[in-house]
Amino acid sequence: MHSGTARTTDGHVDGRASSTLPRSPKHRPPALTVRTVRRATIPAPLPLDSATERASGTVVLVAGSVGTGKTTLLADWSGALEQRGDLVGWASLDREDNDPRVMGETLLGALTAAVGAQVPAVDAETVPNRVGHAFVTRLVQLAGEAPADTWLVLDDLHLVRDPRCVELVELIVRWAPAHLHVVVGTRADPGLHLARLRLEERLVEVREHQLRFTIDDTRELLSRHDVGLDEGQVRHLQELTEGWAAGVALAAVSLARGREADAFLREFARSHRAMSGYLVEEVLASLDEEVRDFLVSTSVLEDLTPDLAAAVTGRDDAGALLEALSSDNAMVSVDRLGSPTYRYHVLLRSYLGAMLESRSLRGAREVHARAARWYAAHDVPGQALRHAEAAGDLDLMSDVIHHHALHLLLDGRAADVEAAVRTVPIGDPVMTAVAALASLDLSDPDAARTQLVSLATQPDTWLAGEVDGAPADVEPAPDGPGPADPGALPLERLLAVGLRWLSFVGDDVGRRSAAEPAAGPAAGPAAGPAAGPAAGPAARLGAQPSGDERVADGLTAELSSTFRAWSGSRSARSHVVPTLDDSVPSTMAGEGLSERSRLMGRAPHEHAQTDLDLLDELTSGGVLFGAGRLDDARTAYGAALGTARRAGHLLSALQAMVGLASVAAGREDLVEMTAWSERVLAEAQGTPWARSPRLLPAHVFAAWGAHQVLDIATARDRNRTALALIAEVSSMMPALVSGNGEPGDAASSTAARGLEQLGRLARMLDADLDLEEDADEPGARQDVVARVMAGARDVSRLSMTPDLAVGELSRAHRIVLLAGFPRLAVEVEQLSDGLPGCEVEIAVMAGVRHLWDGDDAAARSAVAPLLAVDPAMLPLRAAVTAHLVKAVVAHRNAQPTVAHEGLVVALTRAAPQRALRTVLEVAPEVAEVLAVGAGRLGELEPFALELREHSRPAADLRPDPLLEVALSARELSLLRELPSLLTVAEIADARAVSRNTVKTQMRSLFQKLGVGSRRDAVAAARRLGLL
Amino acid sequence: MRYEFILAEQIPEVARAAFPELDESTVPVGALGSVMYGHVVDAPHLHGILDRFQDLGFTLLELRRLPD
Repeated sequence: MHSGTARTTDGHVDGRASSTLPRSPKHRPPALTVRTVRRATIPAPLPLDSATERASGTVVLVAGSVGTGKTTLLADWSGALEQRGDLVGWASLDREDNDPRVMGETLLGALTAAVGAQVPAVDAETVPNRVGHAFVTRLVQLAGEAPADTWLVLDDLHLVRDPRCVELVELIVRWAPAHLHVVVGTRADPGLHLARLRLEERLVEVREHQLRFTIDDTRELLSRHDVGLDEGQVRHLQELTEGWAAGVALAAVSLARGREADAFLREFARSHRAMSGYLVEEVLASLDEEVRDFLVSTSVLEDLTPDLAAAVTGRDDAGALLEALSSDNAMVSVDRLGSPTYRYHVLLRSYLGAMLESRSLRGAREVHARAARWYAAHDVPGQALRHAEAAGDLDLMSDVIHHHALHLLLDGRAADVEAAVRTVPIGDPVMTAVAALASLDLSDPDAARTQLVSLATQPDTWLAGEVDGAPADVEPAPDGPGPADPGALPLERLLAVGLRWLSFVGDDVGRRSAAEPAAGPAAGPAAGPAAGPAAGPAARLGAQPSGDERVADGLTAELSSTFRAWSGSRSARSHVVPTLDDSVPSTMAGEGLSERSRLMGRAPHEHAQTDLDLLDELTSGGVLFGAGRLDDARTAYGAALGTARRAGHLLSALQAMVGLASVAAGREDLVEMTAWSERVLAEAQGTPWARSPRLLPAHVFAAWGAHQVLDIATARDRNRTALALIAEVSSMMPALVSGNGEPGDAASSTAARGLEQLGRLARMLDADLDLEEDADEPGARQDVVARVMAGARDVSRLSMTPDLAVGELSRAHRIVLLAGFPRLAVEVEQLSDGLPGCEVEIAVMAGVRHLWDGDDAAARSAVAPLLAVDPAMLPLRAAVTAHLVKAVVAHRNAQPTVAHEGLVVALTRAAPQRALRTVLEVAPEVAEVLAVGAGRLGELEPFALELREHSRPAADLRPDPLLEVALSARELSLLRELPSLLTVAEIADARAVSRNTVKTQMRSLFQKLGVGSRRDAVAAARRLGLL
Repeated sequence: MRYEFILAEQIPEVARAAFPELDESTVPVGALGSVMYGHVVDAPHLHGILDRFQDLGFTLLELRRLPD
């Protein structure tokens, strides 16, 4: 049994492990004890035939108020279901799940444990950006792989109120295949479409009246507690408790502790207090004062480990006490796998909580504070922050943020950090810096800038290098960070990272550094980012120029010095570590960075240090990439990946890999680009980040990579996801931008520009794929061409970098040409003219167009300048295409030796990148040249073979009656007349139309064929296979 | 907004601490039961109170908004 083996492998139970491992206590039903009553009247459900016939799963709703025995029933069922051979995925939901990302993780964990599938482990502290349809699809697929009926049990669904979470469950229910069943335990009817489920006969309902204990149940429970009552007493108890399970259980506990039955029942009946209150008090009264205190003070914790309980109560014997309580008290349950975890019955916990509050508010806070410290020490920052907040201890909160903010930030929980930072006192510089980083992560550069500037305008803070010496006019932060606190974040590095990030995200600089990639590695990055923050705040807060200038100068100096120090040490190191590997560069980087920290006189906390390194490396990668320093960017991302892996930040690792893919794309290293992208997608698969916008580039690059190797299905799949994501993100963009307050800012912010470019790439690929798939459908071709041309004409209007603009135009050129519109290809060439650095690309475009026109001489002379250059110095596509144009021209003119020579050069350049499409799309004759050269290509032979295998579909694209859709029926029939000797007048007479009509049709025909004369039109039509 | 909650049971002393924001009426409703009333900030607060009633196992009979 899957779940059986899975359970024994789970060894850890410290706070972190229990919340991170997929098979944490959350994913196991509570253990049933010998005292548990099996409810014979409510057997485990069977899949409904009516649901199975609809190929849908059954939904079971167990609804009842507190203490009606829902959880016990569900636990009992899951045991029975597993015995039956079914698979059970259990999820004990709690308030933490009121976030779609956490909830997604919980559901995934439950199903994974049930199915026993291998999916990448998910760090529970990390937060996916969006849980959507794709995620649910993945879940449903996961269940689809299960060999048997799978029951997903969601206990305590009433704790989940967030509409997005409810929608998640709704989607799962709606899409559940015939063998995936959902069992819901809840106190309140969930916001699912229960009426519809009833109508579809998919719903099994177990409601409160069915959950009531029957007299037999009551009798059995009493006997299991070794309480002997006579029949009349049992009946009386049953009446008094109204079959309320918790009531019967509590009464049984009291009776088992020696209460005389008749007296107990008499008092019970006389009591006017709430039954629960009466019974809980009864039970508590039977305990020692000491034990009661223990219970009261631990009531703030949902899950108790002996260690945590000891830390909170200060009692060494906490473990033994809990053990004793759980063994003889129905209200304390235990999960014994690994080291034991205890949980109080919600009813008991509620009363204990009230008692704690009534005793002393300070006592409750003290307990929360101790719990917060324990969680912080055990690296569960989310819980730590929550308890610190409940403790109302701002110092403690700020402490948690100091040590764990970056951890939370890197895991994408910027919103949490931001909210927490807002509640702690301003005036603490580190906190402000953290808030700025959080704002940056939430794409709010203006807020970040304001925060950083406010920080810097306080004299004697970081500018003077003295962190904790808060100025007199600012409220000093008690226990603020200082040299005495070894765990504090190093402020100056926080600032440096923040500034670098800001310079990357902020508008002016982003544009500048992106626009000057050719400025050379020395000048580009140092000048670019440094200028940005200086210009930003000064322009914005122009009212106080002197102070702001000083700030700007300070920021600039700090930024550039850090930047130089970092990039200097980094590039030196890149010689030492030439290979890109998950682990190698990072250890080196860590040394360098901590050395710097040591120089600053601090020994930062290890986690804070790692997190800061990671953030530093990721932002550095981004800036270096933006500045065109691809090698350095690659090293930085490599280091980030290593750090992220070691620290267990999956999201950051994914981001680093996206960065590596982007760098590879920039270097035209298609193999590496595809490999990183696919790895990102594979690792994100099944995690709630599968649709994170942060991974968007990976989707786009993976699609292009697949397209390049002619894997149309994959390309289509990846590109669809990318387009959907882009649409999603774009729809969020306006809101995001309007927050900045500056209209028109949208296009200039880095995020928006990056999105725009990825969007163009994805749309272009979409057009390309449409052309390939629907080439024969009427109108499809015009449609594709119209889309592509609209994009191409836009290029000059947008502030794109020349590289990207030329790249886009060259793709447009090829698509237009493939679709059979050579005239438009000329237009594209004209559009490209004048763009800096476009000469090579224009030469290639012209060469290919002439080749398709059949103008061999013009083609050859267009690419001639490129042939003189060393192919290794040219961009991949240009080099390959130029030499293939040469080869095809030679082939047409019966010069096999020259053709072979060109082919070999082209293949030598293309083979390492497996650039199948780049080779084959040049012209259909490439296949012929390849066929002629077969067997004479040496080590290029495997690549050539692959090319020949693929050349069929690619070559087929063109000989299709290409213009059939482009030409109207009249034009086609007219075309057939053209080779004859008939004059226009004769043709007109033969068709009984006017001469002008014929002339008009001819003109449009010529235009579509891209020719100027009747003779050329015939030649073009023959070449296209129309005649 | 002020609200009044009528519960089927009498609230035990310990449980009253769970509702620091509510007062309990001294005038009993019917033979049993209790009336709690107090200022409610907004809808989430209201539902939070209802949840606390549920957590403690009380039966809510009536809930009504009082004139401010």
